[in-house]
Amino acid sequence: MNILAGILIAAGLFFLAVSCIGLVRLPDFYTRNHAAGKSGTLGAILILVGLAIYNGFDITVLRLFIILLFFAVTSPTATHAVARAAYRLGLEPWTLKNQNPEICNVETREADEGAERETSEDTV
Amino acid sequence: MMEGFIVFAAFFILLLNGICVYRLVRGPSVFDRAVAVSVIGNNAVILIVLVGFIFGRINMFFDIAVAYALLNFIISIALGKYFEHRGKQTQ
Repeated sequence: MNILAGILIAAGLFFLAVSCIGLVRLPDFYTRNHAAGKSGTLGAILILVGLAIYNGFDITVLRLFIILLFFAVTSPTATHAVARAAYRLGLEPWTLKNQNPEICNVETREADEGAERETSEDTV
Repeated sequence: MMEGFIVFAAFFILLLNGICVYRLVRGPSVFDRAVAVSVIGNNAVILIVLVGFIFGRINMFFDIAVAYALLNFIISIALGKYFEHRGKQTQ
């Protein structure tokens, strides 16, 4: 049983590491938000299940599952709220078109209609 | 053996928080900082539960972890709402 708990905790750590590295390496806000929301939640859930198994089955496991359930519900909603606010404020997603338009030989962004939207590099 | 592994897991999460601090400091737009705060909050909750296991007083640390998870969630929602509200004023 302990081995299983150890494996689960190791897997949880791996996903938390993926979440943090994704946060640093990914080019744009939306991709970072995506990484932080998904693998952060999964890593947390795996670690909590691993700890539940390590702890054996008594009353404290119920508390662990409460935290686990709470995490599974709130973490995605939180990242969604920030992402929607960013989109509403006109933060441009990092697409091939607006990063290097000459590669995909479309007319440059200025030709698009609509207000000039700030690129993701500008500070908001 | 398992105790040592949990201590290692706690220090590893501490290291990961250090990586997130880089994004917190450098983040070009304020939303990157909001995401970094959210990830660090996530790591902190897990760290509290792990420390609870290390010290053996699991029940006490669970309450702290639940409280901090709630706080972290409220922070993200408040940031989202604040910037949506502010966006309407400036544009």
